[in-house]
Amino acid sequence: MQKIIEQLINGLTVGSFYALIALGYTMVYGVLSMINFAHGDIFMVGAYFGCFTITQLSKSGFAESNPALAIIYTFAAGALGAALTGVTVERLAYRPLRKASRLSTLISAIGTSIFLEEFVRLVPKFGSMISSIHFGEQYIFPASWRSAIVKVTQTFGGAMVKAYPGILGTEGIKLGGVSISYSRILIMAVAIVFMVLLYLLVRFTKLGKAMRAVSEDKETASLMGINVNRIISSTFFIGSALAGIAGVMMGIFYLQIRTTMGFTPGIKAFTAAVVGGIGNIPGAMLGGYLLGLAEVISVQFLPAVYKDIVAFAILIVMLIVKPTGILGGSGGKNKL
Amino acid sequence: MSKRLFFVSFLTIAMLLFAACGGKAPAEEAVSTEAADAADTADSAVEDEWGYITIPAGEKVVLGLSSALSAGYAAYGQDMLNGATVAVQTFGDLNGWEVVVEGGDDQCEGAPGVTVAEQFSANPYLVGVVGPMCSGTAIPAMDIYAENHVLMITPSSTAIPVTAAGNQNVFRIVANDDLQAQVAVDYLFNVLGLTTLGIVHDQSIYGQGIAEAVKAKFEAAGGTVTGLEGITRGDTDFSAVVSTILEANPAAIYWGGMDAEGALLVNQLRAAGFEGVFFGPDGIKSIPSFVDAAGGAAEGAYMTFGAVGGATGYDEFLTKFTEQFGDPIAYGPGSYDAAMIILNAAKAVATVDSDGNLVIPKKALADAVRAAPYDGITGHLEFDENGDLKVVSITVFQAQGEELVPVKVYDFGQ
Repeated sequence: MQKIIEQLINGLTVGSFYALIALGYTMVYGVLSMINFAHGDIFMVGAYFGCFTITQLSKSGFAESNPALAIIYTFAAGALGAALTGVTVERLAYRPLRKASRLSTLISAIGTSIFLEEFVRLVPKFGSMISSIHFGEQYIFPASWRSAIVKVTQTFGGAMVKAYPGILGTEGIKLGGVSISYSRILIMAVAIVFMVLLYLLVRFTKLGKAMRAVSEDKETASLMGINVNRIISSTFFIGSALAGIAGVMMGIFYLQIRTTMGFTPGIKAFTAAVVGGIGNIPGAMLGGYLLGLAEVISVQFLPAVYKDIVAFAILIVMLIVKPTGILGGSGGKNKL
Repeated sequence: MSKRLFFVSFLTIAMLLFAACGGKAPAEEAVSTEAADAADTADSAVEDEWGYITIPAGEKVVLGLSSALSAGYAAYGQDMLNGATVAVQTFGDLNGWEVVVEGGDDQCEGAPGVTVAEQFSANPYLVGVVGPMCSGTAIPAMDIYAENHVLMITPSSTAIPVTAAGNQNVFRIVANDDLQAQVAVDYLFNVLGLTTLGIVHDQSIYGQGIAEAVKAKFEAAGGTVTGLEGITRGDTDFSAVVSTILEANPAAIYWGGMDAEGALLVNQLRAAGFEGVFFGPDGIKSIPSFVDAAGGAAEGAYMTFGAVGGATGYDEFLTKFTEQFGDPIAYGPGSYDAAMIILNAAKAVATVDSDGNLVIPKKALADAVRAAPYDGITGHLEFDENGDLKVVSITVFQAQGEELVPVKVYDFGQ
């Protein structure tokens, strides 16, 4: 019994990651009917922004005196960094192709994904290149700037695994023999808070209403005076911010991030979005938690190496039995 | 219709012709290049059956290094590149020819490693290769190196099959996984007196290989293996495996794998309440990418490691290394030795022909490596017929704070 509870908590933690990332897939699909395959890498970018922030905060000693505030700043930096990346990606890689065939957008998304991964990996190289621009003997930047550029870019990205400073440690509370670490509790709480906030935003605000209208019918929405481009940008902003939050959670929980970290969670979250009904917000949350739980339950009965096989088998079965997903609408028309 | 039929049959015949030519061509080509090589090196005394490396004056001698230079295991790979770089700086020029290190990013995987091997083999100025870093890369890549008679010395690929194939161009300057497993079991069972062991591995040739060796030896010693589970490289969440493996409450966990996943695993084991011993192979012997990356959870963890520096000349190496790159992590000293062996052997067999080219006979180069023992900074390195070391030692390290402290040394083959 104790072990089952432990595994359920494991499943809920992993599910929180999947659900938060899946929301971005589902929201973009809802308004644009496209799969944003660069979403996993936006999640990675968020983790790197968060890592940069928390590294600076713990170096200056701020994280030790104000751990709660440091965590909030880290989440904010991760969310904002990812959100701005998401909006930029939409503007540069997807908007010019909005009238093109679906295949073009898909290829553009895959290209963006590779670009983001390599960009973060090469940031320190760009830093040293920029800092060494010179005409003859004269460098463009003063010496103090040059070393600052190199230092900042090296702290930000690079080919090596980045370590998150461990702020929460491995301590936790014990409930009847089951130990739950504080980082687990934080992750589940943060995920639930943001999912509720998103739900309220989409249901009860003007912006949410406009998003739903765009998802229903772009042309009619624009005839009603809705600025469709702005709503699409907002959708990318919110979806990417959630992915950035998931990225920071990943860093805080697992203590290490790398440029390739977005791939597997990205694919799993996509699976979660499809299982829940792509385009449907509560569906993405449900799908994320279901997938997380299915994975840990599978480890209970099968060797652990079959975990991924079980996750993707669920995707295939879902696509055969109910392609619109658990909460998806009929006829493939999903709305936010 | 008939046009189409004609086209298809034309294509078929053309393909057959090409296939036939393809079958014959290489043999002819090989004969002609050998003849040309022989003519080129008319002034060298013996003909070399593997051919020659001919480097014109003004070109640079290339020393290849195949390791993971990006993603999860880059800390190890960069360390190796740094070690080889220091070796080239120390060695200086090869009979007047400048030597450069060329790093190939094999990502610690098979397919990219084969690509690196093909690129290196196609380089006419390549003298030899340090690496590959990982056994899973070395095993497919060494076939390419063997075909092209490229000298390859790995300081870090510990899996048994690397040298078991008996390739005459392949050498290894570290103890193999059979010995690492033996040391781990002896330390766990006899020194620490633990009788139950859970094992987790990363399903790689290296990780799974050593995990299964540990399982067999631990059971043979009289211990109980409570579980053997695999995880996926590059994955981050092992909590489900952690819960499963801890169910039987083992006194120790053995990890067969690398630093990146090892750090995550030990962290998640401690978070789940595991208080026993964590033990791993050379793949986790790293302060930045294992001890620091685990965020305190690695305290007290043990690991085995073969290529410990400290022999004659180590202090000079360390000075040169640290002032450029910081502290060596794991295989920096081993790569230095591997590079030095290649360059010294090349110096011994190289001649300058009448056209002013530097000529290195390939078979003689490999034979020189095999014949002459080398006293490196990681110890006395002497090869047997298969290219493995005759005498090796393995040290058990323990993570204590910010340091890896040697706790016991095992010597083999003395």
